[in-house]
Amino acid sequence: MHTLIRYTAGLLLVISVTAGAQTVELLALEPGDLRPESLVTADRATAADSLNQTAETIRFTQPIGTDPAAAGAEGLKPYLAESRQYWTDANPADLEAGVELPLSAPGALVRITPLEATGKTSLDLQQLELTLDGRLLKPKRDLELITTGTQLRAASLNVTPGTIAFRIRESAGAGLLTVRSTADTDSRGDNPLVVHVFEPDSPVVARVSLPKQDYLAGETLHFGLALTDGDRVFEADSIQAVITDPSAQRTWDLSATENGRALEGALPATDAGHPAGLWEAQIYVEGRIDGKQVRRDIPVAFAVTLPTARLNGQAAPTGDNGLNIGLGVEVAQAGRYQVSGTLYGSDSTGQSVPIARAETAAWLDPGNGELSLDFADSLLEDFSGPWTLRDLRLADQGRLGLLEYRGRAVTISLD
Amino acid sequence: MKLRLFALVLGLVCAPAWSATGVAFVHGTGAQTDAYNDYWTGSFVNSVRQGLPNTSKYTVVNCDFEQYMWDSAAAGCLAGELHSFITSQGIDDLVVITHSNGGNVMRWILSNPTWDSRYPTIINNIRWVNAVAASSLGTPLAEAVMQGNVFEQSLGWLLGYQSDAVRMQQPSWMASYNSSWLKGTSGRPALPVGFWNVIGSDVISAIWDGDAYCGGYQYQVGLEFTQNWLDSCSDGFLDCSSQAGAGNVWFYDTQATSSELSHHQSRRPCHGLDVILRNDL
Repeated sequence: MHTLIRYTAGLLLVISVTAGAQTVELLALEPGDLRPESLVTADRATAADSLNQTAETIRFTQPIGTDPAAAGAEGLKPYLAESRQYWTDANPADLEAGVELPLSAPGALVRITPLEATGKTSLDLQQLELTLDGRLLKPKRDLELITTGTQLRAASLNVTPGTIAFRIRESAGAGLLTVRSTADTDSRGDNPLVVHVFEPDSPVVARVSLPKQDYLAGETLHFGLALTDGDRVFEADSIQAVITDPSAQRTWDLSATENGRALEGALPATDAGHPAGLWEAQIYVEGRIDGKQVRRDIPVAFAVTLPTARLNGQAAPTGDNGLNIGLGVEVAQAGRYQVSGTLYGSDSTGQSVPIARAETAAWLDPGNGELSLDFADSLLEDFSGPWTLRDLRLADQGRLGLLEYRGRAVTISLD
Repeated sequence: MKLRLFALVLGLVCAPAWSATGVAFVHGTGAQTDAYNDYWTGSFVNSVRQGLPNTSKYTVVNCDFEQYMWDSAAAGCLAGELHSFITSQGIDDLVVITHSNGGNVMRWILSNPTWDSRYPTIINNIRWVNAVAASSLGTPLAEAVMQGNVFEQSLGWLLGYQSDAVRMQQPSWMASYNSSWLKGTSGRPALPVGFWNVIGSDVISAIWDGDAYCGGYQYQVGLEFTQNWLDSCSDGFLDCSSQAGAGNVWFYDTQATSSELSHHQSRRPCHGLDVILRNDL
């Protein structure tokens, strides 16, 4: 995968500055790091308002303690989404004609929710005809756990009271379930419906793998896709996929590649959507496995950030209480920016261990600014150099976006 | 009488500078104006606070946790109430008890000390958080109610039917926030204070089982259905893995209480939970 953020050979990111008793060196980017190749200025695209308008500079340092695991692992975390479920939208007319729901395994859970709480649509099991591969299902014999919306709401599930849910008994088997309303037209209402099918006992699961969940606007997306029963990977008959912005009003296509084993697409270059909310990939897969139709929907979220700032390569000691690292930030659009990192030093045995994690946030205007990370003398008493700063993150705190990440970022030596 | 008066005077003269211990109750998803009665019940709050040296040093938070956790009405409100409690009551040893999504909002404050100048004060005066049935990894139930088929309708049409808090608690959403903005989950930096999880592992709903009636039987019925969307270990709303997802496990219900705690029962004086929380103060 080639992305916007790969380090470029020769990019000048190593600067040594000797001032006072400290030498601070910002290291070159490494594979897996994240850095904007260029910044988006306001004349290209105006960033959304910062959710945090705090102007005050706030610093916080947290000792790690005796357990090195408390520092966390370096690197951006991948994510694996799995699904044994799908949804379909319907309206009362669809329900009157019969909504078809493929079930690939016994024991499926079905929930039908009218979306408007005050709508006329009434979901009464007595007025629903359920057939499985044409065979009429009888509620007492073939269904269990019949539950109303009122009962589900008491369980903290926010569905309308008119919702109905049930499980198909294992003895009833699987196949094509048709749900048809037998209510008369006058009482069917005009309420839109969502039908949700979950197959907990199905061996067939759709998996989508993301290498990370933090992206910069303009990056190329490459997700892994698999329809599998754990032993076999199946070829899907149909793959449809889009990405949506946080408003969920706009979509961009994802293309299935590598014979349906991957999904690819490009994020808009100058658009990250509103910071309150995440982007989503919506993936819809259908296939026929062991003679049964399988449908799987996989929604998966990720963050997209407009690149409005990045480290400018400057790293210098600041202050005189312990280790104080000033990091230069090139800012294209004003906002509240945050830098954080973990300081490593040598313990009495000479082993490199994490000592403390510091973070600082401040409002920065366009131009070159600085954010510093401070580790007081009292934190360093039991440790010695060489000192390194790891797991360094520059974030647009007010727009909830990760701008830059470096696993191994800075070395500091005391002269 | 004299002896008691002498002892009182002696105590006052020789008293060390005891810290002021307080407890804060932080509700879950929902906009609360009377969480004392509506979310926790007075019997729960009043039982737990008996464990305080000064039983008046408690607060029951009322905020709007229908919003995203960072919202001013959510974490901003929570920060305001905790900060005010700490500073006005001289609390320097605060135990915070959260339920469900309240754990996420609390964890936002703990994980983002540079977001708001009140946050460091709050963090520095917390002893630990007892997170009951925390929604740390989200819940498949949030995803169940948020999604629909985009090819038949614009996705946005569904958003108005659910709150931002529900949207946020979808598993992949919480994974994203956990990887960048929240601490305490696997592979992430630790939280600055202890975050101790109380985990509910089942829903008892058999009509003949007395344990099903604590907190109200009517809540157990729906939870028994919702359990089928979850792992075999769940409280009916959250997988045990989500409840244990951040911080450390304090105990699973069956290890310490007299019966399993459903998601509803874990905010009620059920099966001895209130006594355990009381004694922890």
